[in-house]
Amino acid sequence: MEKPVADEPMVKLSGVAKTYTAPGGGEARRVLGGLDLDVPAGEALAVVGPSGCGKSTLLNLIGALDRPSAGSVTVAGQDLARLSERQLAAFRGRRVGFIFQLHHLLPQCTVLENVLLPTVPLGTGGAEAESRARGLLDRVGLSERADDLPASLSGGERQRAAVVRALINEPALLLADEPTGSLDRAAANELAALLMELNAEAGVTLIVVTHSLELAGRMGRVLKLRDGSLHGAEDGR
Amino acid sequence: MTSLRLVIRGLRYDARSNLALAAGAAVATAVLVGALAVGSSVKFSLRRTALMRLGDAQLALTPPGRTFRDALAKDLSAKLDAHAAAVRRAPAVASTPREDRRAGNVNVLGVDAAFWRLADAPDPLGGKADAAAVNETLAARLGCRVGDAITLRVEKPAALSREIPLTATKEQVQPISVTVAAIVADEQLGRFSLAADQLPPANVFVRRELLQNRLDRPGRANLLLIARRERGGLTQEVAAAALKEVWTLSDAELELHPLPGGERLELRSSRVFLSRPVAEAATEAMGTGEGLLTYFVNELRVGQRSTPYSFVVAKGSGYPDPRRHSPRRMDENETVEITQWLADDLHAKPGDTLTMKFFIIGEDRQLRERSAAFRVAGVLPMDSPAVDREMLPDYPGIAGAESCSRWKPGIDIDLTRIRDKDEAYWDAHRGTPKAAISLPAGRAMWANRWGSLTAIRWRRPATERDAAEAAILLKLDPASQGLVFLPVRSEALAAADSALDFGQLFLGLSFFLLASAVALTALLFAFRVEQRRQQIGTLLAVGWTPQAVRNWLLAEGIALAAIGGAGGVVFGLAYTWGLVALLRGVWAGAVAGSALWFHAAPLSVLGGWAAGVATAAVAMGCMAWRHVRKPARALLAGADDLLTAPSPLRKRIAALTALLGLVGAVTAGWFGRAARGTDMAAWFFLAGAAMLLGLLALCARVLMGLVGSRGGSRPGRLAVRNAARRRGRSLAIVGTMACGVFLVLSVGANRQDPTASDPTAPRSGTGGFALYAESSVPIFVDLNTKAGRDTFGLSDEQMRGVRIVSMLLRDGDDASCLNLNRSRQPRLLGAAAEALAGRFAFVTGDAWPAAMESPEPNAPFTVPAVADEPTVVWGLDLQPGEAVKYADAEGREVDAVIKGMIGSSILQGFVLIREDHFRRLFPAAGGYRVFLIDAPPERAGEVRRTLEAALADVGLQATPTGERLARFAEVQNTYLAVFLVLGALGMVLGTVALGVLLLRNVLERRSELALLRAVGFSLARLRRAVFAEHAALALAGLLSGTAAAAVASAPAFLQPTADVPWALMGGALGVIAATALAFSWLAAGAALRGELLDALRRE
Repeated sequence: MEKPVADEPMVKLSGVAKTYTAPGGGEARRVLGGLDLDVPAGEALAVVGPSGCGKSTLLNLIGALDRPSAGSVTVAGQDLARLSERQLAAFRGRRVGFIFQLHHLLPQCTVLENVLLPTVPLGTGGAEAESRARGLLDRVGLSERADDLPASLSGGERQRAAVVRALINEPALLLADEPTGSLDRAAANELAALLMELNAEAGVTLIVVTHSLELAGRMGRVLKLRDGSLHGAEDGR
Repeated sequence: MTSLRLVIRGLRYDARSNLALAAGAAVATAVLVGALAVGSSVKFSLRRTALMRLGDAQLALTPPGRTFRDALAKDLSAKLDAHAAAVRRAPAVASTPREDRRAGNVNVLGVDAAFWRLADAPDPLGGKADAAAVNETLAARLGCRVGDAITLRVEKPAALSREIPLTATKEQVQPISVTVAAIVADEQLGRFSLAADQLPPANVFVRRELLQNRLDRPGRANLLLIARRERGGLTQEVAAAALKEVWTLSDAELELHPLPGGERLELRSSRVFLSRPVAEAATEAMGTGEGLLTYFVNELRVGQRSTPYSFVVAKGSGYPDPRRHSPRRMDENETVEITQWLADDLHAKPGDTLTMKFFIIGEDRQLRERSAAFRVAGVLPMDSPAVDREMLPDYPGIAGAESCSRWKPGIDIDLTRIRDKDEAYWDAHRGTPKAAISLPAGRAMWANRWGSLTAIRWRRPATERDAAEAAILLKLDPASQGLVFLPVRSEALAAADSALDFGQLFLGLSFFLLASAVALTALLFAFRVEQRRQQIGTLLAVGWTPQAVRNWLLAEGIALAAIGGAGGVVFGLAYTWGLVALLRGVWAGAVAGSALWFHAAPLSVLGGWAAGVATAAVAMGCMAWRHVRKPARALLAGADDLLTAPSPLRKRIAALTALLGLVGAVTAGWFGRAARGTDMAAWFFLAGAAMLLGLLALCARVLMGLVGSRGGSRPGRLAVRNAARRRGRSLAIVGTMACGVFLVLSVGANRQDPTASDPTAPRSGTGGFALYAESSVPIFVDLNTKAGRDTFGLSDEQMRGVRIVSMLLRDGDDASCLNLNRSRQPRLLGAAAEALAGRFAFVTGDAWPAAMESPEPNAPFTVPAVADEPTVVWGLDLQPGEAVKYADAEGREVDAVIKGMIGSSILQGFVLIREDHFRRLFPAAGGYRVFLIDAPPERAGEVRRTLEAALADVGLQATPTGERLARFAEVQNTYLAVFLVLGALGMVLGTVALGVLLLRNVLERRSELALLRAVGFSLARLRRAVFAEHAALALAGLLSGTAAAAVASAPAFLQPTADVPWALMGGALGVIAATALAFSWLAAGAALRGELLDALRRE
């Protein structure tokens, strides 16, 4: 997996702010205000906070799904503000893996095909990618379900499949937005363990946004987002 | 994993959504395939009809007003190695023996077995000499069957134009009784015709010899057909070269014969006069000989003594160059040599003054008697070589008469003036000229447009006759004698191929149907994309570019459209079949009742399918572009746009637009009141469009005002507030319904009934004439004169208040809207422009008579012409200033330049030029065949019956001008009906799209509806709310469109000729409203089906 240049953080946010304006006009709402954050490569970071505090917005900014109103976001040494939409898409494909609260698997595709979706725009979806996908599925215990449709999988299995999809392009950064939010306790524990294993073994940088203190507690560092600013967690791990 | 695999997965997954999308594309494809296949069916039918009317004939030789040896067909056949047939044809009137049924404009075709071989058909005439075969059209018109007797009144050909004095006009019709031996099918050349017209002519076929003999022209044909040959290469040029090798002087109606004594050769024509090209060619080939011009004079007088009805010859060796024979003034010292017989009769001697009286034809066609005086220079003994009975040309009705009392010239002569001595002279000397003058003097008096010589003589021995003939033929151009090959086959196919494109026409007429199908496809696709918004968000999040996602969605859509389109082809063919059936039935007016066959050309089907898929792809591409613009995070979150309040500026803009629209409508209407014709229609259409815009803006403003409106939770109030929620979508529903209804109704309301107009208005399409009439056989008299009326036994009382404008006709293609083929050589009228002054309304150019004044006197082959607008624009595909090309009697190209254009009129299908131009260019075309008749309105019916009865022998058929206009209007009215029906069908399909929008709206709000259900709303109540919202929008659209259409159609309602199809329009509106309501109700039920509360749980 790719790593940032030595001594450079995998993720660096400098004075990042994000403001939303209602579609019909009206007063702008500031969600993030002047955030600074360094996430070293290989770190496992949890961001916690109340609903609507901007956790997902922060993750979207880091994952190049959104652009900040002010400040800069640098990931793996790349200033995202300098990238075009096309380059951002390529950046997401190569460098970032996303895990969402809902698995967002395509119902018409098999588990294996879903896993291989990120390889399509890169043109790398050949035999090698398939072999890698099968290996990853084996690792998360889904090797037997590779050719099944998502509808036949349990919630935990779907989320594990989503994790494999996030890893297929061997990203340096894994972003997870409430990954256990729709899972029962057992499945949530299982997924949390899997994420930590990946972080520890593959050295992938992991940023998790969650309400779950249990999940957050497994991470190396916990930050709390409040009033648009990050604070060290008082009740972190 | 590849994009293709993803597409395939998508196609196999959501059957219902896929089916719906494919169905939308299928409808669009069906409409396109249907329209194009109707086009190919019409084209196929026209081609088939064209080939049926010609059989295998590729080239035709049809010299106007001339004949040739029927053996020429064999000679050419041998030379060209191609089958050829000689035909004698003549116009006629056919009737049953009891005269209870009569058919005018009948073509009698004298044929032999060679003719039938053109269609590989057996000779249906059998062995009986008086057998006739009629085609199905004539059989139907006469109601005759095999074994019935019919009478044909055939126009008897004259040796020279019947307008020349001495040409008999009284016996121009020859009755022939025949027995129907067969009824010939269309496929067996039954509809044989050279005119590019899809409507079958009325044909009767008889043995060629029978017709030739009854017309006193044995062995003479006037139509030669050459069939295609296996090895090809049969061009006009090849045939012309062969003709030049095999033709004889007889084919040019010339004769070169040795004079008694065997020392001189004389060239003369059975047409009496030698035309200018003949005189030129003969002079060039043989050298200058002695020219003769022998003329019939009414009287020769010296003092008190006179001799009636004699021939005088003008002759001269070294006659002037025939190219410069412009009439000169007579010299006062002109002399005449008289025969001893005349000198005795007149007691004349050298030095006396001899006065001769003779007829000439004036510019106005009237015979005028002129006289000229000559000094007697000498007396010729009766045995002098200069007194020569051979000088009398073959004047019809005279030359062959046994006695003077049996003369049958075309002029009124007083036979009582003929004395016994005159009869004795005839017995002894026949038509030997009694006097001789100089050729220049003769030409100054008697030269006319047919020629200025009746013979040329050369001092050559009889043994050189053949060599002389060959020399003359070598110099003479067959084209100058009208012997020009026409490429009838290629012209027929070109006329069919360049005919009105019914494919395009039906694409236009099916516009709403197509637009609705495409809109439905786009909506279904958008629906599908919206349902996949989270999938799209996922793909964007994992690195897909928006374009890659669009391509994926579009590839799926196109694949479904292609599959649906294939199904659409089947429906399209069924739709075509239905349209063709309608065009054969209730919509027959659109194709003027022509025969139609279903024919789906592979290219049309493939083109329709491809166009259907492409159209759907474009619509889906737009939707894909619109929906993949949203950011991934929004798509993944699945957040709906929340209701937002419109800005005050938007509200003001909407209100202002509404006001401007309504003010614009009133203003345009005000201008429209003062305008006329198409300008008035344009102003009112603008008023309607402005009103529509105003009403739609008003709807937008009302919807904006509903945001945040207060009220209870009753279904009606909920519906109102929900309608304001997605204002763009709501306005789209109102706008689509309104625009559709507006266009369909405002166009459909323009149906016209010309019979309701005042036929006496001179500026109307009738020109103020009560009747339009055509005769099968030309008429050579002026029916406005007593003499002309007497010819047909018409009394002054019968013709009281009747005035007739007679016009010359050169047959050709019908260029009216009743002919689907593109007219190449439209029928040409020669009219006295002054007689039409103040008639019809000119759209462009000067009015009569200035419209037909010749602008360039030095351009004799460019003549100004007038035609009506539909003829010029639609029939000929020309613009004012452009020319229609004809060939004159000598094969030279003539440009009839459209200088003036009148509005749609009873003259549709014709090109008009001035009568004197017509006579100059087409001297053989003879008398009048088209008549515009003024009659008191209350007596129009009686005048029609009187004229038809009196002129039955010439096949005159009169039609009230209103009826004639109505026939033309029927075509346009049928198009309007087709537009109305297909437009309404499109609108009905549009209501399906309304249902899809409703489904989208409801599914987006499913969780809200579930909440309402959870708090106690019944399903029925929710359904009523959803229905009320969409029904209100649809009805608002219907009302806006109807109101605007009512304004736009005001001129149509106000015109006296308006024939608004109220029932059809009301029915269409009713069906549209009913289906809109029905689909809204069904879609509301479908959207609320299933467990609504599940949606809430998922929240």
